[in-house]
Amino acid sequence: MSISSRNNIVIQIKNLWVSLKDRIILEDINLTVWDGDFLGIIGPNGGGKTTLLRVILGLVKPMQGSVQVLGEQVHKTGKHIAYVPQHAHFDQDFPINVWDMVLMGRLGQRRGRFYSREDQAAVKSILLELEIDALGKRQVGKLSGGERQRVLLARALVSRPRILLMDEPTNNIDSQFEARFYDILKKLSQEMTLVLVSHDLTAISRHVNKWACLNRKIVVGGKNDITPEIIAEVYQCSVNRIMHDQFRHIVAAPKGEVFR
Amino acid sequence: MDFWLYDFMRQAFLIGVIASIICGIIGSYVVVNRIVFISGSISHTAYGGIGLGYYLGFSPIIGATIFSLIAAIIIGMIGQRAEQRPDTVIGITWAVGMALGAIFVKLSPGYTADLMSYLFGNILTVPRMEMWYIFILSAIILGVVFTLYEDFRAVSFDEEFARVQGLPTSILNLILLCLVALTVVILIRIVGIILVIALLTIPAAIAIQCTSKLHIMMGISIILGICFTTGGLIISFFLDLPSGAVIIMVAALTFILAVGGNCIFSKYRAPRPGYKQNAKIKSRP
Repeated sequence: MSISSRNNIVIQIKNLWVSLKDRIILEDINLTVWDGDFLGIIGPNGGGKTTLLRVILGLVKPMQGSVQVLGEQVHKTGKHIAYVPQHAHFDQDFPINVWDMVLMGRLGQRRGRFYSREDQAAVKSILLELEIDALGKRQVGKLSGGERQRVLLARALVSRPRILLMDEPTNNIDSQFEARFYDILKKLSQEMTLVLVSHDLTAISRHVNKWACLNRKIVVGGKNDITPEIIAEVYQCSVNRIMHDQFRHIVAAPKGEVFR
Repeated sequence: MDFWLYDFMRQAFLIGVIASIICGIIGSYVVVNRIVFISGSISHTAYGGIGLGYYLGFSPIIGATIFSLIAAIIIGMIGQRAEQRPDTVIGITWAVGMALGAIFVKLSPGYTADLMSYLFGNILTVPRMEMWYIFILSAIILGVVFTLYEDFRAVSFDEEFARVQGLPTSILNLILLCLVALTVVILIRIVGIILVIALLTIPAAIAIQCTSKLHIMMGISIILGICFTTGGLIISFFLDLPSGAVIIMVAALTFILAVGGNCIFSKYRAPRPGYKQNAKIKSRP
């Protein structure tokens, strides 16, 4: 991504409301993500973090409001947006190996009905990049939690997306690979827009340039807003479920962008 | 080899091979998607179509095709909405199809002698026209699977991911169920409505234990299916037993042997306490 395109809006959410099973999950969400941003989303369980990602992916229909990704309505953006889910929804017994699973990341790009040599080459290079080329022939059900997480990341990255959404990607990863994982993300943040949902506040504060706390409503802040006090405050929010209104004025400092 | 001298036996072998090919491919999708009971429901609903065929005087196999396609579409459409429990819909469709069949058969004038051949199959008495019909259905199924192989695999493996990648997953699922419906129609002639699920799933259920690649699973299923239909046919010829039932028994016995063998084998292979996993690798200081 060239520097000049850094000023483009990649995700724009306006006045978004989402309800699932007659429960309001997201309430009046306004969020703008610029090209090259590394956005971290934190918040309590059930606060709607995963739902927000699913709305951006077009998997959940909003009740009200608009979601634009790369200037288009969400359902047309498949090629440019990739997703690392929190829980992989696949069957452990499915007869497929790691190579073929990662190849599925090229579904949106394949020319014709089958995968090309170019697609195969993309798989090879991403497996090497993430140091999982030895796993290629392993059946996906026989992976450990950490290996599976890396394979999910590989499947997301193999399409060379412009936006990468990640839902708690470090949950099953050991601490040794976790450091490596954030190195990879740092490198990726040079090339693409990253959105990371995490419980890990230290990671968020160290790597992201923008953060959002989500508990039905959203509060957005810039990198400079991340002070220990605010982290403590937000952490409390995520643990004790303090309503946002209480700490809204804390982040409503002149530097921060607060969309409400 | 005197069974080879009979024309009807040669035709039965040919139909058995064609059906095994289709059955191996679609059966693999059925097993990996865990839609065995959807397939059961589709096949039982076909009975309503067979009854309707008798009642209105057209070919029961055409009626079976229409009814199983309708069942596939109903189950597919309702299964994609969250409000209804899919298993309830599967069960209701299953029973309504059978009930309609029973009513139509009762209303039909005259003697419905070969009704049993639809319930339990009879590969030996397939009329020429129906044989051509089976070939046409098989060609359609093969053509669709060849074009949509990767799409079906992606949707079967991780539907949500496939949707994010821009695949029309609802339509693909519906097409797959319609292919299952057409496969059921082919298999009705061979093993009958009641035994269809066994022939559809047993070869694939054995094959999935042998490989981690879907197309190899399909290949193994096809070979197994050919062995089961051919073997069952020969045994039924010599013992003078109903062919459909014998084919299913051959398949089921093989399945039991495969599962049993797999259990014993994996026990033998499993590491025991004191067993050095990486005996060949020198431990680093």
